Amino acid sequence: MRVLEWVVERCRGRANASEGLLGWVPDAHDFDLEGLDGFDAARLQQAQSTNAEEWRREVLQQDELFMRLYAHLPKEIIFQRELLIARL
Amino acid sequence: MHPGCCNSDNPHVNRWVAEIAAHCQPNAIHWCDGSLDEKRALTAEAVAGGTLIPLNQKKWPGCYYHRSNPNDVARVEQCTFICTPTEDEAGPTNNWLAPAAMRTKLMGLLAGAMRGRTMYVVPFLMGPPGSPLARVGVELTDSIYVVLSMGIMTRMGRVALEQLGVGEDFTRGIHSMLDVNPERRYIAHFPQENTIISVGSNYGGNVLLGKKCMALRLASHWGRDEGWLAEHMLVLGVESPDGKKTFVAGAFPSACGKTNFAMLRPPARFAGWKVWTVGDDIAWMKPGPDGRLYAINPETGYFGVAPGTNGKSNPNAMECIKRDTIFTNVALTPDGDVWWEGKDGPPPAECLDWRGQRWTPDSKAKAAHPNSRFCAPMSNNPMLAIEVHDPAGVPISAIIFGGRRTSTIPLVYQAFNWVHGVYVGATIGSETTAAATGLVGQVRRDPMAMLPFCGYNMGDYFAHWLQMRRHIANPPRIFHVNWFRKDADD
Repeated sequence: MRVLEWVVERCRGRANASEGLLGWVPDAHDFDLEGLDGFDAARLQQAQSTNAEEWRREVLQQDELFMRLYAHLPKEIIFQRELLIARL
Repeated sequence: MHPGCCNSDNPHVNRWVAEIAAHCQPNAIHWCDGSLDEKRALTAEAVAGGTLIPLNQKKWPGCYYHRSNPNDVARVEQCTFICTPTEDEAGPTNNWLAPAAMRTKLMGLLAGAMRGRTMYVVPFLMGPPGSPLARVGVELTDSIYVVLSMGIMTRMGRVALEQLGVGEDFTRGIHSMLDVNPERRYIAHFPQENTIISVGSNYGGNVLLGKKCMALRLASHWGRDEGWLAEHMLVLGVESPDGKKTFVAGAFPSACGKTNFAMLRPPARFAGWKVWTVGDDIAWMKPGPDGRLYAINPETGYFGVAPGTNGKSNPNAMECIKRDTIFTNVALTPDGDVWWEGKDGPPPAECLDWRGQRWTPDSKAKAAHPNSRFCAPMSNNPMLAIEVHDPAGVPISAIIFGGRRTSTIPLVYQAFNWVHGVYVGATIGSETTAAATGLVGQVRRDPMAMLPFCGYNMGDYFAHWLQMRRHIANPPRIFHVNWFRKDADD
């Protein structure tokens, strides 16, 4: 529900975000953590963390599907993949 | 008019029904009108024939129990075919057979297949009456279970024929159980002929032809040709304390809690927040005159997985199934109650499992099949969004993609823009959970959660999503969520 609240407030232009590797991500102070037992800013950061090494593997795994679809794959998808790799 | 008699004056419908009846040779033809009287009569007939077992009507008013053939308990992707003129149009993620070859094979199986049975003519409307997005189908079936389920899942009967008028733009669905033999089980889609033929099954997505077959596989074709999107998405409305509603669509691979998310109940500390359900499975989305994307739910019921559903995981679903619901392959207790793994309260001391065999808490096998289902009308949902009946649909502000990933993917992030969002949706995947296969933790890619439901080449489907950007001046924001990251919580 907290995630959904952030999503909704983003759409309404009322929640902040910062630019991450993958996309816009909530800052700890944008995120309603009150009333969550033991889920604090540190835990949120952990749940939000991105590991470049894991993501290199992820991109390679994504390629298995893209290779099957190669003949019809739009170039935008390939460019987005390249941009993601560049950000890692 | 006599119940069950021909109630259509559409020449295209009547000619086609006569043609298929001549081929399948049923003993009788029953034209469904969708009335309450008809539902009562057909339910009584299904009970008399043993297809349905009444539950304790004091506890479960209007609720019935059904067991499927044990060889017929789920959708079967290996029997599902997209019969486009060329294999390339169906793409590498679909099974393909040439339309003429498949038609010949299936018409062969259907010849005389309904002898001794009644053929039901089931007209149905997908979407609110009068909606420019709504579509009409007619399913011919020899299964009374299908008729009663279609009555819950769709706007069935007269309303569909009224929407169709004298036109010939309707989906032709032909279903015969045959002898419910996996060797003769095919679910074949003919997009060019607006036809679906399903044989050899009597279960869920294989036979309720309005659902995955028409509303996703065929509709994805129409969406591509006409500039809209037919998606495997839930739609919900979030109401904040100031009364403002924001509508969100979400695509998740199976076993990620899509129905639970569609029926989310905000925790106590979110005083004044409400989550309304528009749909839990399928969204048809079209650009509106104001440049936003508008969604309708083509269905009118929930065909949800029973195991794991309880008052804590999904209290609204527990409300939905209290009346007028058909349960399939759950466990049946001696006092006419139902049970499944993960239901509230202790298991019954004794019951009949989904195969109809005696079960006690000491039994090794599961009492309910893991894919056992409830089929419940959405009108039972206490949080049903009133906008679900709006022919114009609801404006979508956000699209959420998700998957079950214990590592790598963060709890939530927002795509930079539409094109990036399409890439995010195209790359979603989910870790397998079935311990039996020995592949736990392996990531199965399921682009937009549409892998088994996209009725044409998946690469062209991505291109269509990218193309849609040109028709939506004010596109929804796109997000990715992962509820399953270890140490993550909601």
